[in-house]
Amino acid sequence: MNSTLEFSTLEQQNNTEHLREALLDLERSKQLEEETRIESEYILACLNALSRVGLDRNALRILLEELQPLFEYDEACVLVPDPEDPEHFIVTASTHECLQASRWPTHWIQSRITVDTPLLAFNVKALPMWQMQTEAMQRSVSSALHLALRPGPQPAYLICTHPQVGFFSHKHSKRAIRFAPMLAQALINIETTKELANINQRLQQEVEERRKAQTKLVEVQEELIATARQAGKAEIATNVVHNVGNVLNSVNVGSEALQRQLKGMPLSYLRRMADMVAEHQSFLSDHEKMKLLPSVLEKLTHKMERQNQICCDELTTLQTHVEHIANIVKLQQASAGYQEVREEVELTALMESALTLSLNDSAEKDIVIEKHYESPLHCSLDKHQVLQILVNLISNAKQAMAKLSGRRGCLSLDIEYNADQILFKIKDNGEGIAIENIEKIFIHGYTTREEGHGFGLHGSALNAKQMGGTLTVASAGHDQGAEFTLMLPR
Amino acid sequence: MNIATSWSTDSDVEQALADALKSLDSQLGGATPDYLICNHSATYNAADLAKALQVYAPKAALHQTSSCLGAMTNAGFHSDNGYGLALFAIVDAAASFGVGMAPLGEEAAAAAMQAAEQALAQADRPGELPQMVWISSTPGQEEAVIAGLKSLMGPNVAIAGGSAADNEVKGEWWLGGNGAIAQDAVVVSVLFPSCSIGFAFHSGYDPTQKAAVVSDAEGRMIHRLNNRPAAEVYNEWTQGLIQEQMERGGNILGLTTLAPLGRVADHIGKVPQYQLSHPDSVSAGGSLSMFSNIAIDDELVLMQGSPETLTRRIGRVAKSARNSTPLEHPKVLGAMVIYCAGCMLTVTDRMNEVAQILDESIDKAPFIGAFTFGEQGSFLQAGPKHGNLMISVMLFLEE
Repeated sequence: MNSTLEFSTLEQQNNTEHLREALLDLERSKQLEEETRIESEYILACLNALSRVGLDRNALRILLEELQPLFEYDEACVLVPDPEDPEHFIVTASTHECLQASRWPTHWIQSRITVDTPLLAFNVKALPMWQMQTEAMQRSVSSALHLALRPGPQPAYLICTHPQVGFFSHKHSKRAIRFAPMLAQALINIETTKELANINQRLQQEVEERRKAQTKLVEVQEELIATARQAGKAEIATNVVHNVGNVLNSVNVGSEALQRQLKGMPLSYLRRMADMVAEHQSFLSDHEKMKLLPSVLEKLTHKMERQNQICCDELTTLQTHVEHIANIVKLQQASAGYQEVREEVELTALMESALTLSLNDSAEKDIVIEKHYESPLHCSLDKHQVLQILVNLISNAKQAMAKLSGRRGCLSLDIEYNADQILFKIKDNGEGIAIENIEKIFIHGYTTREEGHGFGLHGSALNAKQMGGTLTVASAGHDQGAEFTLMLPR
Repeated sequence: MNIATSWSTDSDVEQALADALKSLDSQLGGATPDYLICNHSATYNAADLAKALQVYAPKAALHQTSSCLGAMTNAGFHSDNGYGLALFAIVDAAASFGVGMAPLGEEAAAAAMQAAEQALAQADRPGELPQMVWISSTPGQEEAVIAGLKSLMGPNVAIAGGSAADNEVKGEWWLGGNGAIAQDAVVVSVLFPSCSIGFAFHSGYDPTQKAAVVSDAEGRMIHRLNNRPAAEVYNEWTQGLIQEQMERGGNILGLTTLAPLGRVADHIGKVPQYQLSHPDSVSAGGSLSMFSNIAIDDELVLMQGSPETLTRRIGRVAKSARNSTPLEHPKVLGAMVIYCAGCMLTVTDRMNEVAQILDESIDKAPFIGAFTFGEQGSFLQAGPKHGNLMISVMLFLEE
């Protein structure tokens, strides 16, 4: 035999080789087509799965499970940055719970895995990022495919695992690279859907809150209207009672004046004249008709004295009745149903109004008035109620300072406020309150003044309470002045 | 990523290396290689080469293998009076490369694992599967070397490379890794380049209709085919090709180069891919000694080749390697080629043509080729195998 051994001719060999190469090209094309067909089927399967489950939080896991036969992994998970720890990635979707709690060092992963260069670990135990995983994970995983699904500030990574050493090949990583954009897009869609759901939920909450606010507004308006009506009625009644009280006062004043006039009649002179005439009736005996004068005068005097007494007694009885009626009116005023009517008022203006209403006498204007107001503040308050209390307190202070001797009255008016409350403070240097009387000062009917009724402070305290506030007093004792504090909520 | 090759056939090792390095340095613009391959005829002093190369590129992963007669680059076949060397350098800051070497001894699989772990450590990629494992080893235990690497990195590891060779099959081959050299060793490179890698493992041979099942075999020795003495069957198939050696035994390596035996190792679709074994001697008892392991029940097919197919086939192998990736329009950045020394010796006078065909088929991208006494490569489905009279092509590719 020779070295140019020929089983077929050179031409035959060439033809055979050409045919063989053509056949190989055909087979490669068929393989490529088959691979493309398989991948297309998986893409369709993934899309079907997505359309079946929607883009909820489980969609990524379902996608991974759909791709399992293609990637041939045992378990898989997708990592995203931990929003609370920039040093680590966390699992956002996984096919097994053992992977779900795992954490992965950001720096190591980002420095070694990119979109184009997957990391194929034939033995994960040699990799630092696997050495920090649980023993159970390290026991169950030998090889792994790591692939970046998307770069950028919110990167995501796919990890596929297998218990067999060196299971994954470059064929797996090439397939994973081709499917990475789909997984990344699914992740984006899921995140976007989640974000939209959050926005939608927030919008729904806002709509619900606005609906509730609208309902509340309608209710408040209705209440306001009802309150206004009620307040209107109450005001009429109050006015009536007030007017009646005023009339009663006039009646009382009139009756007192009448009583003073009756008591001031000079009946004593008449009595003395009658007695004198009786004593000297002998001088009148010469005249027949004059003889009768003493007895007539006596009778007249007696009668007038008796009638005067009767009138005085009747007036006393009348005054008692008037006072009784006045008490009833005041009680009615004090215990009338409270209907709050709030309106926007400025605090210093309110205090000034109370002051103006309370100090109307030139002598009272000699009182030194100290004002300590914080910067003007507009608040929604029941103006008339507050004004009534302040007038009452200032009036009381004025009266407490009326009996001062040797020193000048000093009235101190303070307005303080914070985020929660407003304080009106009325302080005087008047007669003060005995320690033993402090506790009684707000009791209904209690008063230290002869002409007082013990209704003012009681009513003021009641009104303060109705507005959600308090009225308190402080005094160091008799002749030490007093300080009243009206606290109202803002 | 920058790749360059250079060569020299100067018989003075210092001058040869100086020429090659000067050219390399010029092409790389003074950049230091991250990975450096040196294929050289065993006639050079391997230790001098290793030392000089390490001085030139102290941080490079350095892989050194002796190659029959010389080497091959884009410039052609480089061998002059048995002297020739070629360098292949990669500069790739985004890549990782590592080389390890271990004495082969009796535990070739363990040695391969040890060398691979060294290489992974140098690449700072312990536990990570490289895109390609490039190996060189002393002829004789290649199957065990591959088994060791598969055992370490799994069945899907891509392996290519070739067995060290000398000029006259006298066992004067050399292997080197990172400055160290040895004659009985395995050298493993792990490649994590920043680009894609394509590969193909083919022969320049076609199957004939002559086939038989191995009835008795041991290691690389086939005793019987279809229950008949293997040499007798082979001689019949080849029409008395080894008739003279049948009678007294002897070397048949040169005679059988165009008529090796093949086994179906893989399929591309329905087309079988063959892993070749080269009969190298016949025993007096009628057994055939091969350059690769054969197992009982293997079906062997007589393959046929010609100088023409051995010359032209390399272009088709390169085309297969280019098509082995999913890249739509792969651009070749560089190539590492293993070409069987037996084939080279058969078509020595046409080796410049071989180099030119390869150069054109990879668009003149820089390549290096070694002529080996055993070829390793990876089939797409069947994975890494050792064969004879094969062509193994690895391409660095980008879209």
